[in-house]
Amino acid sequence: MDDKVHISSLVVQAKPQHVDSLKAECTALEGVEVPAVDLLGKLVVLLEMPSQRHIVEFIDWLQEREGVLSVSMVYHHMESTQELDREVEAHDADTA
Amino acid sequence: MRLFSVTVLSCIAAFSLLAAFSLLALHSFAAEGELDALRANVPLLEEPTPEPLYRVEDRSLRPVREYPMQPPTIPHRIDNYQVDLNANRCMACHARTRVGETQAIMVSVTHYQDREGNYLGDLSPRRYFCTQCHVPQTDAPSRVGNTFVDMSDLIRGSRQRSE
Amino acid sequence: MTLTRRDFIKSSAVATATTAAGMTTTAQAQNIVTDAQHTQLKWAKAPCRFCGVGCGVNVAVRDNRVVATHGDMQSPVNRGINCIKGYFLSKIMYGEDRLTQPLLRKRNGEYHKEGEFTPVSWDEAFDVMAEKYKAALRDKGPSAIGMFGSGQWTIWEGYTANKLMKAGFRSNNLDPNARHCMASAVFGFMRTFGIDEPMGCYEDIEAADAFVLWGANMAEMHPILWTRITDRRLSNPHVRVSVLSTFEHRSFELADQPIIFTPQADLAILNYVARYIIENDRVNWDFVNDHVRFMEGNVDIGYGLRPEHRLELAAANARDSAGARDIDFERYREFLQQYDAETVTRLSGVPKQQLDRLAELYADPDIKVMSFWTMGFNQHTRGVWANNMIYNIHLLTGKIATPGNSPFSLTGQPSACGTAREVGTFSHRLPADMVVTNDYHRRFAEEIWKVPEGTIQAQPGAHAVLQNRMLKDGEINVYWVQCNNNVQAAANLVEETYPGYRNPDNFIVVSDAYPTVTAELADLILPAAMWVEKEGAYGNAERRTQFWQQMVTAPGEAHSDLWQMMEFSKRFDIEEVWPEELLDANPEYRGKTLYEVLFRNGQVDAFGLDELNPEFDNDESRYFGFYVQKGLFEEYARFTRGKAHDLAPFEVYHRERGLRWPVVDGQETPWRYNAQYDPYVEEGRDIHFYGQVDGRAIVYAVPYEPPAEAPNEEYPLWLVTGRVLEHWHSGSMTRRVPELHRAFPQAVVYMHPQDAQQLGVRRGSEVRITSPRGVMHSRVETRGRNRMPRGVVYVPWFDASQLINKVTLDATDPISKQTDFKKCACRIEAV
Repeated sequence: MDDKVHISSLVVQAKPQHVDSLKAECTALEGVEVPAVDLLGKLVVLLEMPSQRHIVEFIDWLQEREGVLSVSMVYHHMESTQELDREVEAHDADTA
Repeated sequence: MRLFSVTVLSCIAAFSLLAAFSLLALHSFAAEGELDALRANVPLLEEPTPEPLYRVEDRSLRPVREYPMQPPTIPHRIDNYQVDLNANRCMACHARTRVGETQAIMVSVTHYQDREGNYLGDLSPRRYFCTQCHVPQTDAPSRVGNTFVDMSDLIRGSRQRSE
Repeated sequence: MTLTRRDFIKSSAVATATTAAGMTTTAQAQNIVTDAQHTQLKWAKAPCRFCGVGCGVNVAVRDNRVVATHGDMQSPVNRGINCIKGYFLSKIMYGEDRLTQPLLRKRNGEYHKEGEFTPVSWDEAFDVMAEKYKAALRDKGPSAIGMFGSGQWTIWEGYTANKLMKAGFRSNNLDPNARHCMASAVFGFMRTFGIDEPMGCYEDIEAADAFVLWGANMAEMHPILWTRITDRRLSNPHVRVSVLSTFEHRSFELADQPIIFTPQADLAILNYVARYIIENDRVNWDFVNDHVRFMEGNVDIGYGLRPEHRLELAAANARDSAGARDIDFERYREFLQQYDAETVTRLSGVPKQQLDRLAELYADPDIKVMSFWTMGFNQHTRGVWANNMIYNIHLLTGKIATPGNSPFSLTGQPSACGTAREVGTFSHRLPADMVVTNDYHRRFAEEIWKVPEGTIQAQPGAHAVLQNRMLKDGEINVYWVQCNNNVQAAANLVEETYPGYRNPDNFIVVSDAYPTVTAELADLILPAAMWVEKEGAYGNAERRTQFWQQMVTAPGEAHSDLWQMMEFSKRFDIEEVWPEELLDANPEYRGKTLYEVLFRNGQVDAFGLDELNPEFDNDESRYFGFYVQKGLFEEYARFTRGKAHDLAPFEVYHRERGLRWPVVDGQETPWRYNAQYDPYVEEGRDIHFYGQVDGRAIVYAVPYEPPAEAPNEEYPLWLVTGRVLEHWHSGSMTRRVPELHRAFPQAVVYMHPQDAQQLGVRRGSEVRITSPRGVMHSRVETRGRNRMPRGVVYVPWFDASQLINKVTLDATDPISKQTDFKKCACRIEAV
């Protein structure tokens, strides 16, 4: 298996009145989660996608949505599916 | 003896918790002892074998609080801890000055306030006897469930509804 | 906990992003909602549901559910702290077996005493119940009707019960479970001061130099007052704490003077202290000459058992237990001579040195001293005497009614004072310390209630213990129990409680929020609303009246006790409850229902729905169409105003964190009988005990007398029963809170390790506890919070699966009729 997964997180600045609708639009897409929102105008978007190209396309799409002021990527990680599905001890995670 | 049958239909979806009063379908039951779960299915004039003494949980895992003001339960044994006029064993680990060494949790800042809300230099004497608010937990099973709902579940539900 | 690497990477991604965005989050980066619209909780104040301390709590409501509670910083009682029970109030309404519909014992579709509990409508429930009431009235008259209520009733519930029973059904067989808890304190107050309830208040704690706990284990039973005592003691090194008990408990942790005495010998110790004060010339003569007189009480007064019991037959004054005659100081002094150190040490096991150190706290004029007691004195076959004796000491030294000098009677239930005592739900009482035996008092009540002269019966009704006996004997045939669990609570369950409930001649109704063992023995169970599911009012131990609003709705078809009583009264035409001669003399009442006479009298229904606070629901008022609670309270308050029990206007209490009566011109009264604080003190006096006609409090010469039962060869151990910190009374609420249940999951029998060894058992062994009345199985505890002396065992009574009242004795104080739950003889064997 050579499948790779790209995990990224974005911080999105948006107009407050659009935060809810943006969240809904994002979470409707596959591989997109919105784990945190600040209703004053911020969203954290988590992406789990098969390639970097998918991520770039998503960012382009997002930047054109109504109410979006800025999108910045703060985290990116790529790894094989096999490796990602390995169980780790909670302990490892804490100290990593 | 027939078993007291209670059907609990609880709605799982977090956002419909409002409507999710657990519905108790009480089938008719008559045999004495079957109504009060705390009596544990024994007629009043009979004597059940008492449950064994349960052990105090001692895993030192931090308990989750169901609302911010809830005093945390004590996640370890406190047998023979001296807390009296002469000494306070709890504060030997949980005092502000001790937690660096012990890595125990510092008692909350409210414990340094007097009755009027002024901050004191050390533990407020009104908070001196820890077990008035903080209690260890045994591994005793519940006799009857509790349907209390965490406010964060209700809040999530209200967000979902408004979306 | 297992995680995949994917989970871990994702959570790192989220954590990094939220940190970068300056957003708060947890490691799991959950949906943190900061929008006020979504995170807002609605907060309101309420008194705690549990003990008589009356702590203030703030209650948070969200989506019609209580989601949090915390100590109210603004409450002068507890300033932001709660005990472990108070902190978990948020969960008491959510036990999953809440009763949500009436349950009637039925067989083949009909009510049957041996039938199965079957859900029925309120209509059907009240139809059957009314039929039973009417039959009892027809066949035997009002004396066949009984009601057992509670110091947990709200003020208006107690008031409604009082009116419904004493004026409506014309039966005085109404008693509260406060009889088990406070009756000796009440009679103590009435005998010494002529007016009920403490003169002091909780602020005495911050002013006192010494505290004496007479049998009270405040560390567990009144924890928030204990925090105040602890604060005072630890902040002020000169302060002394003396703790007296029959075994060592948590309050001993703060004791400078720990004293263990033999059960019943508190009477001898009290008289020793009085004698010490006199013989060492420490009487405050200015005070005594101005404010005190002396009486000698009848002795050999029996033990409140059934009249044919050998102890009653042998007692000289069983029929005149409260009798007393005037004496002078010299006679009192002479009477006390028998309580010399040698005698008292022999009776109590307490060495002279300890006795003297204790007595000196009272004798030293420079020490302000506060005495506390509760069930140790009150649940005592000489409980009234014990109450009188502690006042003797404070009166001889003049240490009373001034800040820090305070004999303080603690209460067990949240409204033992506010409801049971002040409203007068006892079988001999009317509101504001009035009694049914007094012609003027009855007339006064009849006028306020707008019922004809002669409605209220002049004979006291059956008290709690007598009610159980009368149920067993088939003399009370319909019986309504509200807001308590008396099958678990009353002594001598097997012989005296159980038979009455299951007597085929009787119809038993139990209103409760949860199925209890009392509900198990009922014929009809009515589901009740509790605490903040209704608008309420409680009165605490320092005379503080506290209100709360309805914050959530009750589950299913549950209704408050108030609704139940009012709605039930609609089932009766006045002709069905009052005799013809009463109606002939007062024909204007004809054609009305009992509901109309009692509640549509132009007073109870005087306030409209427009006066409700629009922020809160009020299920009863919306149902009946007027502001029920306000109407009842204002009618009740007429009894109190101008009678030294003055209550403020209704609305004031919804604003304030409670006020201590008498409230005159908007001012509460922290210290009664003291001219600086109490408007009822006559002009020109500094101290005035105005409850007595001559303004003098009474010192009583009353002796030590032996208990009703003491250990013997066959039953060699003392059995003491009581409570634990984590559970409140019968545990029907606290045991449904998981944290409280797990903290103290079952009853145990505390005993001395050597007693255990001698019986061949050890910690955790199953044992059988036996008395001549019954048997209970438990497990041995030799460690933990209580350290027992040899020969004494302690069993808490909260556990429905270990009903210790099968073993206890139903002996009472003959004056107060309160049961002694602290002393009987038992035998313990390994199983």
